[in-house]
Amino acid sequence: MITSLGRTLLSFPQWLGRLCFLLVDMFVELFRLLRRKYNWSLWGTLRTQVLLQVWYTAIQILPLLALIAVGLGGVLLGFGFGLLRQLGAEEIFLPLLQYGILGEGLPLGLTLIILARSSTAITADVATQVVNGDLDVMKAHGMSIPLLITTPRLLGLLLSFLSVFGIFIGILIGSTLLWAPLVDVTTQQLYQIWTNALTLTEFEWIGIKLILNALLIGAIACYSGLHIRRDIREVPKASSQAVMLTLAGVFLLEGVLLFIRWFR
Amino acid sequence: MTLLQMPKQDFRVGNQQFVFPEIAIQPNELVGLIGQTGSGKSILLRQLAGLMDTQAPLTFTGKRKAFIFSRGGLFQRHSILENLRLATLFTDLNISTKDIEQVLQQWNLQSIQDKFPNQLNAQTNKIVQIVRAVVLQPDILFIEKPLVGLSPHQIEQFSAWIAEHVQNRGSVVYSEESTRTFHALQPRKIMLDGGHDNLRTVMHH
Repeated sequence: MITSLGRTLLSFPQWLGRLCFLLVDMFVELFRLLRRKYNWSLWGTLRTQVLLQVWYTAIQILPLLALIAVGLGGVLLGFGFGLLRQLGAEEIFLPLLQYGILGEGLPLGLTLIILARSSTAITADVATQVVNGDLDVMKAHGMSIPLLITTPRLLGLLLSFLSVFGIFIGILIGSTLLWAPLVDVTTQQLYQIWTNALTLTEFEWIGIKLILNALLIGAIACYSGLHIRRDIREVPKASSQAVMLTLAGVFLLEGVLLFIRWFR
Repeated sequence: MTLLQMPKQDFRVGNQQFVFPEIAIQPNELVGLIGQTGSGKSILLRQLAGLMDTQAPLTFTGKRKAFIFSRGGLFQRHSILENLRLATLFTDLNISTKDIEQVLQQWNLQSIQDKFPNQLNAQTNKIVQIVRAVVLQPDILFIEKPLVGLSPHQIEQFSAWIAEHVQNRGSVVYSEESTRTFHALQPRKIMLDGGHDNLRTVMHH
C-alpha cells in the first residue's frame, strides 16, 4: 500500500513532464506551420479535424447540457433564491451563485461531463490509429504526428469547452427568465442577479480553468493513446487508465487553482 | 555523397540476436535486402526507414522518403485521394489535386479515388501505395515485398517505373525472400542469413 502510494506520487512529476513535452511538440509544429515550413493547405485538413472534434465533443452533448441548464435554472431560483428569501437571507444568494455555482461548480461539472464523454473516445481513437499502423505511415513519409494527431484533438477540445460553457450560460440565463414568474422573482431582480454575478474577473477565472482542463484532458488522452503497445487488447486498458489519470489530474488542478484564488 | 547511412547494429529481439554491419545507400542505387522469413530483413528495412530505433542515429542527406508497406499503409479514415494529398502536404512539392488525379489515371485508379482503404483489396491497396510513391518522387523509397500480389501487367509497369526512378530520381531499398525480384535491374543484394532462434544474422555484400 505504502509502496504503491509512493510510486503514484513519484510518477506525478514524470507525467507532468510527459504532458509538457507533448504540448511543446504541438506548439512547435504549429509554429512551423505558421512559418510555412509545411504546405499551407494543411490548415484546411487541420480545420476539418478540429471541427470534427468539436462536433463529437460539444455539439452532440448539447441536448443533455440544455436539459441540465434548464433544470439548474429552476433549482437555482426555486430552491436557492426562493428558500433564502423565505429565510430573509437572499443577500447570500449572489456570492453562492457567483463563487459556488458559476466559479467552481459549473467548470468542474462541464469538465466531468466532457471527460466522461470524450476522454475515452479520444484515447481509443488515437490508440486504434497506433494499432492500425497509421503512425508508421506518418513517420515513413515525414508527416508531423503532433499536427495530425495531437493538435486537432486539443484545439477541438479547447473550442468545445469554451463554446459549451458559453451556450450553457446562455441557456441557464434564458431558463431563469422562464422560471422567474413561477417563483415570484421580478425581471428587475433577475437582471441584478445576473449582472452582479457575471463579472469580468469571474469570466477570467472560469476561462483559465476551462482552458487548463481542456489541455489536461486532451494531453492525457493523446499521450495514453500514442504510447500503447501495438496490440488491440491494449486499447481498453489505455482508455480506462486515461480516464482515471485525468480525473486525478482535474481534481488536483482544481485544488491548486482554488488555493491560488483564495489564498494569494 | 552517401544518401543514407546506418551504423553497425547489434541487438536482440526476443531470443533472436541480430548483427547488422554499417550500411550505406548511395544516390540512384537499387538495393535488395534478401533473406528467409525471420532473418531480420523487415527489421533492417524499418530501421533504415526510421520506423524502428537504431543504436546510433541514421544519417539521411535527402529530403523526401516514402514507404510501400506489404499490408495496410493507408489511413483508414481518409479516402484514397485524401491519403495521397495528405502525404504531399508535408513536402516542399507543389502538387495539386489535379496532378494526383492524373497519376491515378495513369495507373487506372481514377474510379477508386473517392473510396476508402477498407473498400479495396490487397492488390489495389498496394497499387495506391505505389501511386503515392510516384506522386512524392522520394529521394529514397523503401518497399516491403515489392511484387507480391501484383498482376503481371502491374509488375511490368512498376518495374519500369522503378528503373526510371533509380536512373533519374532516387534510390530504392526493398526487402524480399526471392533473389529474382528486379533481377533485370541488377540490384545490389544484401543477403541476410539466419532465421532461426538464437542464430546470428549476418550479411554478405
